Amino acid sequence: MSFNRLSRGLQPLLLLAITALLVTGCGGGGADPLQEEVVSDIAQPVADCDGSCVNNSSVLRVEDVQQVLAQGLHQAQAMGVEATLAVVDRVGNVLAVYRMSATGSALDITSTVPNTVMTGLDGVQLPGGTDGDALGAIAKAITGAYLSSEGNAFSTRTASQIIQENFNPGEIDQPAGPLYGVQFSQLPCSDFLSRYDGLGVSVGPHRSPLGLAADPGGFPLYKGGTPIGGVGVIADNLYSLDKNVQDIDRNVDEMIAYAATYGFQAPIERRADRLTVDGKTLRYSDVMFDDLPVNPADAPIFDQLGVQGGLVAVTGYADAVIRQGTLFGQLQSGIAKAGGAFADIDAFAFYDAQQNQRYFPRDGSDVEQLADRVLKAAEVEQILVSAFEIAARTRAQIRRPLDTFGRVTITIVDTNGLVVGMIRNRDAPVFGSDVSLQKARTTTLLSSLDAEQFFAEIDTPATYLENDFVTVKEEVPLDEYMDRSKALLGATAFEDGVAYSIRSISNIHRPFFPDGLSSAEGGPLNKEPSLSEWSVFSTGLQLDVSFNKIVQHVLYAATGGGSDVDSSCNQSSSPLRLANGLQIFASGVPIYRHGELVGGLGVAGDAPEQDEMMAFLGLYNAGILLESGIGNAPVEIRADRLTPNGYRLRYVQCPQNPFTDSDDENVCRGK
Amino acid sequence: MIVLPLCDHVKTECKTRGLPGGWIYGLIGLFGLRAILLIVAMMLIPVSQSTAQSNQTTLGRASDAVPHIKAKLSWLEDPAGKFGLLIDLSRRGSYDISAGHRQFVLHWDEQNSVEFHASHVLKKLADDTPLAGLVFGENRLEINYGEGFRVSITPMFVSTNEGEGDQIVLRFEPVVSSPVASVAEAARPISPAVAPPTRIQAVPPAGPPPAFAADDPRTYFTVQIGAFKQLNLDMVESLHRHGEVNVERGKPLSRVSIGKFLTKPQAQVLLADLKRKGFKDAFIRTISAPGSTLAMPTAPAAASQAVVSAQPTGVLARGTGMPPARVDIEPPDSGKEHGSGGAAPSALLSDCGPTDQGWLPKVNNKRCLPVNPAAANNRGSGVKAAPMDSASKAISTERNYLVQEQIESHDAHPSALVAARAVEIPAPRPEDYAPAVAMPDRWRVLQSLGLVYDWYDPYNQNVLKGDFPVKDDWFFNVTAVSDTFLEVRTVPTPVGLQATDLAGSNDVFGSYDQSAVVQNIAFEFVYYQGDTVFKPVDWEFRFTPVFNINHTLVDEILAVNANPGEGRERTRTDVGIQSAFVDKHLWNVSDNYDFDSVRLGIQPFSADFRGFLFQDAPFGVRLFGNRSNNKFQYNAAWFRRLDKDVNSGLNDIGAGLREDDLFIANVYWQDRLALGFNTEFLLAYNRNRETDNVFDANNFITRPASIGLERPRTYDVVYVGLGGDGRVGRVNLTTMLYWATGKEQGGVFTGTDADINAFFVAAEPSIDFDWARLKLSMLYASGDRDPYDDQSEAFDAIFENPIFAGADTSYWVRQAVPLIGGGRVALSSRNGLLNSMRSSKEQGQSNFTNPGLILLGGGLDLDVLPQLRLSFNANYLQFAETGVLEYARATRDIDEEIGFDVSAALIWRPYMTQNVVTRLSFARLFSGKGFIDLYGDEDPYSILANVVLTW
Repeated sequence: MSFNRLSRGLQPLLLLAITALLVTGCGGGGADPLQEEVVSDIAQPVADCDGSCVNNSSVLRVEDVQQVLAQGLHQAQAMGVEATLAVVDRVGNVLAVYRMSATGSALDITSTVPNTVMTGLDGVQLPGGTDGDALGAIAKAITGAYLSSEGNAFSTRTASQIIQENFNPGEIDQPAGPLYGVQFSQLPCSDFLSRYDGLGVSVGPHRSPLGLAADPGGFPLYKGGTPIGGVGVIADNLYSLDKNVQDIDRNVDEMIAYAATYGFQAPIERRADRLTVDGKTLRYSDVMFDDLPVNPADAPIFDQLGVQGGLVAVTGYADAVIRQGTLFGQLQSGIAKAGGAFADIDAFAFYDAQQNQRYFPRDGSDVEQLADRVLKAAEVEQILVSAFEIAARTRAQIRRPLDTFGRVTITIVDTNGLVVGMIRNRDAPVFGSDVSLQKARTTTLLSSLDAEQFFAEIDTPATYLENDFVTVKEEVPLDEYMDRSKALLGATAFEDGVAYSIRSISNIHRPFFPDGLSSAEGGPLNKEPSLSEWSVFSTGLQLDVSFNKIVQHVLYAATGGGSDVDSSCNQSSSPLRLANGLQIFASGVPIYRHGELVGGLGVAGDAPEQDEMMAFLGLYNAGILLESGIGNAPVEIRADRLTPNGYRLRYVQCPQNPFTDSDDENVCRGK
Repeated sequence: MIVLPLCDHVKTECKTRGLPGGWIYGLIGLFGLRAILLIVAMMLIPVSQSTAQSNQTTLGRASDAVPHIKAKLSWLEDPAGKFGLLIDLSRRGSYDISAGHRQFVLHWDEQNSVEFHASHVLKKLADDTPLAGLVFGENRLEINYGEGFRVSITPMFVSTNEGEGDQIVLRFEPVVSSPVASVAEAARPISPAVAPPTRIQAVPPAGPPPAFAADDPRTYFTVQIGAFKQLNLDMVESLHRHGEVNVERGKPLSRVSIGKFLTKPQAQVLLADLKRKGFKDAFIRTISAPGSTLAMPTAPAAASQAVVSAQPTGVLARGTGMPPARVDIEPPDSGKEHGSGGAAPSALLSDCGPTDQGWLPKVNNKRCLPVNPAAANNRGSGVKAAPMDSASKAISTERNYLVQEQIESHDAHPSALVAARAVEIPAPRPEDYAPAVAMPDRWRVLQSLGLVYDWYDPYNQNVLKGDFPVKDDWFFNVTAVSDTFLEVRTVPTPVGLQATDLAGSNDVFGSYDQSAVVQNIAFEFVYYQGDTVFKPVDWEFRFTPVFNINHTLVDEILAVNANPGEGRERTRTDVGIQSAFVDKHLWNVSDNYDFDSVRLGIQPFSADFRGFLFQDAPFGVRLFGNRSNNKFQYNAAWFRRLDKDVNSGLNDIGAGLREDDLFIANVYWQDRLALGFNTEFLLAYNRNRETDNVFDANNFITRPASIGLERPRTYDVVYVGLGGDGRVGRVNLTTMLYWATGKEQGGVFTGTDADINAFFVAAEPSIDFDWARLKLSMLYASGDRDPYDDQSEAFDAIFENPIFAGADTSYWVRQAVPLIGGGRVALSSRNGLLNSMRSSKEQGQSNFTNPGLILLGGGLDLDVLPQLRLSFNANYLQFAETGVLEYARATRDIDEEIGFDVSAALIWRPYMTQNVVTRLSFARLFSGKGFIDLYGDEDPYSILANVVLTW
């Protein structure tokens, strides 16, 4: 066929194609003119921050706090609601609490409306006239600040998505959220976290009155691409969560809080909805600036607001004054560059008010049990360094830009629960500090031969109260959980020396066993969903071991009456173990020397698999270097040898594409 | 009208896919091609209603004039692509039969000569030998030519265009072989598997009169004086003095003939006598051949008795083992004249191959040289009459033989044949003769000849195969297909997150080993009204249930079910309804049977030549038809898709209809661009409103897909398609171009509305070198560069089933590769090419945020033997864009290279039919950098064994 003939044949076809293109192509494209009117959601131009953007201006100044408050109050006013706002800095100093109503409104802690679960904190109602609303707002503000970093901006809505019984919520039969249980960290009874000193801002990280919040309406605040704090709002009297991630909410708290972030909003590229976990996009906010009734940019300055109400003092957290936040990464924040052996590797450490570095590597305190087999300071240091080295190679799951390494906190405890070493990355999210310690203590305790005894010896059951806070609703002895575990794992469970990593524990401390399977029974350490006992505010052993202390503190903080809790969340005779509460999402592994438990290692800050690899491989590598018998649990005693009801427990799960510097897969195999 | 997959079902990719759902397309391909053939046949064959005399079985005709009759030529379909050809020669005359580019003429005139003209081939049959019957068999037309003779012609269907099958050439290969040599030899089975007596028991008895000796082999004659509307009894009376007067009552004419069992000389004398008496139209008619009206279908006992003895010389054994293409001839009169004696043919034809079976080898392949010196003398003389001895001189030598041009000599000594037959044929008795019995319809002509076959025999006339009607012109057709496949494969498999099979599973990736066994049994019941020959059917009811059992074994738990307690194995059974529709032929719009039809129900449909966009069996209503003598074919349809079972791939009637509508219209323009090249224009609108959470049979979420925001997503997308298929010169070419445009509400990653703007282009040129076909495959499906912008730029099909680039022989098409750690979606689905990142092809929504695909490949098909094909394919695959993968996997710089997909397949069709097709294939993906980035350094493979049995 000649070309001419061919082209003649093609002509009508081409014409048709071109015509079709022209006809249909005009529909799309073109900016919506309405879009130009609204405030852009793009944050102020930021450097491509990757953990090192903090500078002297990375601080919430008083006028910044005022601006945040003004924008939130302005929005609340426009919406016709009375809101309570809290602003915190990155290490949890409460910089201001503003209440529009004359007295505090009631706060319902509830997972469902109307409430169907009445155990644990679920169903607890802090009555009007107390500072319950302020506590809720503070918890939400702290959540926004603590979960975020220069690499990721998480809100309380993000938290809500990743702490539920399935991930994603609603995708039944899938495992629970990767951070299931994180809501019960940063507890007010923590021995690790700082407390308000009654004077002003102080070194952090600080405690949160209600742990981390899942109720939409808590956001981080950014300046120059670095998080400088958080804002939390309670306007609907609810402290709840969002069980449906598929819809788009118009949550009052969230709208006000989001408005408040204007000018300090998280960079678009760092927000949770630009991050994926197992390919699933996280949620950040269901509202954007153009969804708001009024433009937050139009908010008057704080002094000219004309909004009723005012700053309030909150017992244990703040006085009625707007404070300037601390500068993160400096000694004043309690988190600063580490000294000693860690100075060379850009590690950060925790400092007390006297500017002393906390948790410098030390020998284990458990000489009574272990004699000279205790963890040595040098060993602690090597484990920390090795884990830190793994972290520096680990491809972060929840940070942008892609292929940056994971930022975490690494904590080692001895078998008594004493912190023998703790370091963190420069830009690790703050929440991981307390969580890594929780994990280290949890894996150590539950792997020890006297774990069952520990719970059995706690005489005081978790005592659920009616909402008069006097009448006992239910008492839950902690050994109930041990009994349920023995029924599943065997009569010698938690006294037979099985090595439980946090992942192993997570397998049996989930709403369902096996995890996520809606047709299954509840995990033995967890509340039973089929009995309507379980919710994210009533997880089971995790909450119940700290429950009495939490309630005691909440009543103290809300009413100003009674006394504050001491620095241990449990009521056992060895208060240091689980002193800051029990944590149930990976990652943490027990540390062994020649098959004998000598401590535990917890890592937190990135996604569980990444953290877990840092812990597991860090310990493995350190063991090889140390040649002192230190290492992971012998494979024979790991919990993945157990197959209760036919379902094998997990020990560790290292991630796919783990390293930024190699194509290696399956890097934990055989270790 | 037919836009079903236009693929050559000889090709592996069309027919023999094995996976759940794969057989369907084989089935579609099968019926699509059959339907196409039917249509082509209808268009190619000049038809005439005037010859349709369904009750007429008489061969003779009382007219001097030899009308030019357009033959009634039926395509007799039987399963899996074997075709019979039935020429209804119920009237004497000259039949023009054309098929494709060939033509042949079958001339049946008053001189009792039959001529075949097929291309250059001239065959002439002896005069005064009745054309006794027609039998069609496997790939052949058999024309039974009196006692001891057979003509069989093999129509060869050659599809020159892969994938379409519109270029059908009938290749008639007339072959001459020797007559049966002797009783002893002929009685021997042709092959062990062939010709059991029961298969030929229907051979009608010959009917010679008692006036002749029992061993008289002659054919007999009568003299017909004419046919009359009203009989003049006086005339009839007056004829008695010439002999026995026979009146064959008929409408409108009754024939009158004199004498029943006359010899040829007697008849000639009588004819002369009668002509002198004024019966100018009188003529001699043969009456003795089986199948004539004078044969007696009414005496089964006699018939079967006759069979045994007549086997060597009668209608002949037919069976699967018989060589398909032969023409057997024997000059009957010469045999008669010679009586017994003479050498056996095996002696005469000593250099003619396997003469022990009484057959000559195919003459086109080998020349048979008689040892007869007389014959030898004639060697090299071209078309010549065979030498006859003096006793046969009364008969023109030219008319005694069917002579083929290429055959120089073919002259088995007649006397030997006569001897054999004289011994073998029983003498007809008077009671063997009975008057003609009218048949209820023309399809039962063969039955009238006593050719009745077992119900399970699909190769011969069978009411279950639609060969003759159930009632009036209502036909029933059953097809049964068994599709079995066994697959051993390695596929990236994660360990279970909540629980693992083995202790020490510390990482994401577990053991890749998997295996699967799937058995599908499909039945297709078709009940339709129509005469099956001249025009499309008027009504059609079709129902296709498929029974499936599938077994999957993997090495890791949580791969077969969301419940780790389900372990590593999964066995499921399923019943799917793959078609359930009624088809009404609305009207014809031209003399060429251009028509419009409407079809309602669950029906197979393919949007393009290769299944790139949509090939499925949805529920809907479709208007279709053709115009301009089939130059244009069109479809206009609304479909609402059915949910499917994810394990079997079959329609899940219980789950009901999806909220997914497809409005589609396309036009095929034949011979556009080049002769033999067909162009398609397509416009489709896919409207999806699936906002409910749906979990599949394995309890994994399938809608919305577990990737990105996992929010309900709806979309409206318009596909504009332009494609072509056919050949341009020597080059076979398939091309397809799509542009997808529209909007989705809730982008996969952004949740905000996004504009869809995506492209797809594919081309596959191929060229044949004798028995080898060389192919090139090129495909580009656009990918989405930035999943977070408001543009969804990746192409996704509605429901692809690509017959392309090796089809399911290749690893990437065949296997679903999960995007581990990047959402519970498959990077590319099973039986799919596109990296569409859906939850599953069967149940997922289209995803216009995906990495796209670039494919460059080459293939080689070798038809090593008629039964054996060897295929090789190698495709280079890469992602078009990797941005989506990078966000899904939180990994930067995922390389674009997927790797080399290399595969080989062996297709063995032991009987050269589609009834038994076996396939063994091996594919391996030599992973490229991108694949390694995603799954580590493994080269996954799959081995597939597949057996498809069709009845």
